Amino acid sequence: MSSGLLTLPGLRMRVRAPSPAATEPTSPARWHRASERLRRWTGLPPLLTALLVAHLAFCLVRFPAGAVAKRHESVQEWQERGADGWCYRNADEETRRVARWLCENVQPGQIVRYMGGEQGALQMLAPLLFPALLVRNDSKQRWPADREVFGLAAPWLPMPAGTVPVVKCSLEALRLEYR
Amino acid sequence: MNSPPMAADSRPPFSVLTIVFVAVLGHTALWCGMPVPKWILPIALGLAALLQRPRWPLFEGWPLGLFVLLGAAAITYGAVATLDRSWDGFCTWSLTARHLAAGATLDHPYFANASVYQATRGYPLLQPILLQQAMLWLGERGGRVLFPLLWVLLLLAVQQPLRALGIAARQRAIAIAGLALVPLFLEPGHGSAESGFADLLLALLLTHGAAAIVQQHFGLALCIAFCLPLAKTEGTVHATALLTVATLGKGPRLGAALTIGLLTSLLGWLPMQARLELAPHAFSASNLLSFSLPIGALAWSCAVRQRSTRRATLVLTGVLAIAGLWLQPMLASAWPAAARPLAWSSLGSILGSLAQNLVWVRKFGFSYVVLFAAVVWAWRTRQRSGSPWPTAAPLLALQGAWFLLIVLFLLALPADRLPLFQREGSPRYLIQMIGVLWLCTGLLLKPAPALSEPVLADAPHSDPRN
Repeated sequence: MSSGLLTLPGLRMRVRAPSPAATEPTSPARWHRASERLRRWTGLPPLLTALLVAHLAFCLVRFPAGAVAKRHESVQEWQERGADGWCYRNADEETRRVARWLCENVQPGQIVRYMGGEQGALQMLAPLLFPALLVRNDSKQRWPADREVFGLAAPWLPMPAGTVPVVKCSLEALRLEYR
Repeated sequence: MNSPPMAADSRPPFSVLTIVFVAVLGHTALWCGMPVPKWILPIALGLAALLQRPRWPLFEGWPLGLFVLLGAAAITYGAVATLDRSWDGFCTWSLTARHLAAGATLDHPYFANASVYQATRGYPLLQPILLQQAMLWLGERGGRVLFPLLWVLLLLAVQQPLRALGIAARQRAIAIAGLALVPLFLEPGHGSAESGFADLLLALLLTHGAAAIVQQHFGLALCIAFCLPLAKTEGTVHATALLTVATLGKGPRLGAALTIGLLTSLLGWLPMQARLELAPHAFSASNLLSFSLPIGALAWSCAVRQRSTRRATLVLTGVLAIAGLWLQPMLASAWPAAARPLAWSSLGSILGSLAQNLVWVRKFGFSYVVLFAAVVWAWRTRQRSGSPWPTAAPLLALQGAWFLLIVLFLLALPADRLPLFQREGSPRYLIQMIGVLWLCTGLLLKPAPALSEPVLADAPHSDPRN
């Protein structure tokens, strides 16, 4: 801050020069000057500059919450639930149980039989059981000959003799049956 | 002169050449009944390096460079920490890549046996092959580093043509930052960069396609038209739109380059797609339609460009369009496989939901609003010498054409599937054009020279000696 020497007849005193803040224009004027500087920097008209600033600022403000925290939460949830728990997190308890049991017990070279609708709950099962394959139970075409059919009994459902488990699929649920 | 300079480097970028070579070698291996071997990637990189020197990516100024680094780091973390956390990536694209990485050929039951479940038979294989190559070298999770790489390449695909066309560094930085910050790609969720969806790859290819148009880059145009049908089902439509806009805006030579690339690709891909779909014949009526589409589009745009045939062609097009709309319900009932009835009653809802998507700031930020403002600003100075309008206009036409095609597609959907596609599909169809949008915006941000300069120079009375 600068200061000066004020001399009047009979009076000699040191005065402080007015601070830059005191000489600053009012807030709207300051805002106007800043936006003018920004406009000159971009070389664009005020409205376009404002929209660009709005886009950059809005997306930048979202970055910590959207790109970092939200991503971290989804990764954490996936790791806590496991792949099957994540894929069927909105499904009912029985669907989650069937999916978990299949993921734990189906071997890579096996095929798992399914019936019912192909849209919905079944779609996630194929990548979860990879490299095992899902095969339509009532298909007229021959199944892959070199693969063994998955034939384990579920601990919560007694298996009649001469049957194998078949996953019955609907839009929202998976169920286990023996056929 | 308003026309932009020809591309200084006649060869396509290193990354594009690598994608093309991986596509050619990978599809050839599958055609030959082989699993796609892991040495395809180094061979493709080597061949690309022979044709074009790879350059280290440098962005405009350190703040932008730092942000790109942060964004890429966030996407990389999301990509490699888990397998795909979104439906489409997990169940379709990445599952196919995992089967290919496990050594599957086209005779593997996953591809060849009709009784084996596959969510999307006949989907293109370019992204699965790229991901499979990365997986073979870096592991199942590590290979997913492909997605942040594609995101960075998308930003570079905007930067390179803006630099070549002489857009100032500040405007370039603004355009690239605008694209980098678009939340739909940057944040996790359906369609995000790491989701495993093919929309990012398609956006990258389309941005290069748009760059090929504004730079009149024949080699790049050829490569992009070749890759588009291999990247996603709608790639053929995109390539046809590109070639139409290129012919109308820049001339038949560029359109012909795109047509040749597209036809070459379709010739190899359509029989393979028929095989993946377990179709009885390699070539069907719909395949012939796919072949005739680019040829017809090239012929139509050449006829419109030619002054002597323009009026007759436009009148004929109008008549055919009206006749098509009138005959469409009859066609749909007579030939349901080829033509679906258009649900005109849903038009208002479709336009409303698309308009809502354009200003959905949580997905696109203010991208479309900024483009609109830039268009209005550039329109006022379009007549001036050096105005960016003539360069950017083809890209605006491209986006307009894509918007109309989305509307048509949604009109043709069955009523029970329309709400799902309006909710989930529309943002993803729009995001495919986001690189083109920011390239176009970057071009329009170029200030037109002041009106007084050429006028003063030309006008005799302005001479100070007078």
